[in-house]
Amino acid sequence: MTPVLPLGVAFAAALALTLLDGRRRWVGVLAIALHGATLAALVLVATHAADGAAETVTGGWPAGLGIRLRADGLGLVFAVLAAVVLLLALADEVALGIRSRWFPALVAFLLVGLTGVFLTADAFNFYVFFEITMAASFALGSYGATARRLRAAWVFAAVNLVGSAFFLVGVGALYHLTGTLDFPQIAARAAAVEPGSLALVGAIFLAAFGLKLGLFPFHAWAPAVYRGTDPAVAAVLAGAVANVGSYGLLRFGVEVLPATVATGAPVLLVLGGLSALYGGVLARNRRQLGETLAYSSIAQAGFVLAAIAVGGEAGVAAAITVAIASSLAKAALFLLTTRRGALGAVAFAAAACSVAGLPPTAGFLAKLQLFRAAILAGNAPLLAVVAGASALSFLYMFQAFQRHVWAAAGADGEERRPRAVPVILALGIVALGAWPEPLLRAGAAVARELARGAP
Amino acid sequence: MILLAALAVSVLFAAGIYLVLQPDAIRGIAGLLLLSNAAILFLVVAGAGTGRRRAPVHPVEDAAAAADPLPQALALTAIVIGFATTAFLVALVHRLQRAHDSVDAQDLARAEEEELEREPRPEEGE
Repeated sequence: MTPVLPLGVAFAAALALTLLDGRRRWVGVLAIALHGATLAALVLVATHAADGAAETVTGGWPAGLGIRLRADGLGLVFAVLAAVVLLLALADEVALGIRSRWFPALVAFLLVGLTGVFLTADAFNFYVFFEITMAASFALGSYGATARRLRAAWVFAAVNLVGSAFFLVGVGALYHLTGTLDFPQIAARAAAVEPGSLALVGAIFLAAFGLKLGLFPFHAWAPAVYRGTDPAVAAVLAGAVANVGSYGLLRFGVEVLPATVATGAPVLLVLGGLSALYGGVLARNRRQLGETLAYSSIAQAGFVLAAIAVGGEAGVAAAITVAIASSLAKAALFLLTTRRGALGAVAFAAAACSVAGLPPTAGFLAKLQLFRAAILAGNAPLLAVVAGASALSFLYMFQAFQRHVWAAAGADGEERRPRAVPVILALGIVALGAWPEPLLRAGAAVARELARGAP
Repeated sequence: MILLAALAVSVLFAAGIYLVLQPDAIRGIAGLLLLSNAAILFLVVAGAGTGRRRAPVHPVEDAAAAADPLPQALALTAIVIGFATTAFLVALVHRLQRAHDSVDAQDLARAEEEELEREPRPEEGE
């Protein structure tokens, strides 16, 4: 079972959808079916890769010469998560009625880009798929084409292109220092490189992925973009595209440059803590729900970085669990931005509990893992920061619920009736929290696989 | 030679950042173009004369002076990607201009504020 299968299915789906008019209902349903097929292909690869990563080198070249595609635990977890979030966001938009003929095709290309990013083991191939993802998301950012959407899309595109330039410089520097583009080979050769140069490369990657994720010094674009884009697109950006940042930090930090992360851990911890507190403090008292969720994403990004900095299997497992829980919760919350009705309110409450870290939700498990990692590392300041940020997250999520759901109940704003998808997401979040085995086991297995070194 | 190239990359990068920070969106596009080209130049230089001991395809006497072809292929890919994103950006800024009659960041910010003022305030639940 090669990783080429899900990529091929996704690409064929994207090409097919480009030829069709997305505003027709049957095209939307076809798009959902094709997304489902890609998800099924990913799950197929995952079940067959249980005994180690499924690898292919394109063109049949030996591993150092050809581009290696590798479906290992980390990549598959993020790829399946992205496929699920994209599928649900697309389903929600189809239920509401798609307003642009390119929407399904763009979401399909986004899936191609994301699947490629998560399933490749070559640094430049990562850049190419990264750019495909970003190009599709720039175009999606202006979906709806009102003045507000265009402004948000411009901010998003400009800032992320700066990040891409940084990332390209980082890849070039890594190639110059190690002579290869293949992740496992870079990891092996990084030991022979001067640590100062690697620290510089690490800083470049931190900037590039931090920008994508919305980490503290690189966060300024997030409120403007998340409040300005269409809710379905914002759900996709927060739930799938931001994960490129988490995945990049995990892949480049834990597999490729672990020594750099170990030496830079204090700086990363401080940045992560600052991000968590900054996001938590600024998320309160926001007029727009999109801004609250944007600052909440900044805080969650801080948690991910802090978990990676703590390191060890516990830290990596915590980072993965935080990324998963946060993606699902943000996707549900963004989809509920303009939804009213009792069932929508319940779904909002469930997703808000997940962000705040209340049981029985996936977010509670994520916070649990984070606390556990901090305690195992004996890091008292981190524990204090995480506890404080969690308290803040409860505060601002409750405020958001009060202002945007509770107080607005009964007001005749636009009620977007179909609420199936957010309810499904909320049920999923609660199910993951009430039955924690799969999530915890997945996180632990991936962390162990990364710690063992690439197979 | 490497120093000259490094200076060139720095100048391009600095000019790119300066232009991106300008209020005019079209200068922003020019700045982004310069940024991506600075990164591409960096890629090409990263492979030039690095002293790899074997020339990749045809044996030459002075193998150390032969440039590494891989970064040049990477640079070509990056140029094409940059071209595509620039085309998209130009289209986006054109739509922005049609929607706001201006591409100045201050006008865009003012339009954003006006729209936010017009929105109904959420009630302060107490």
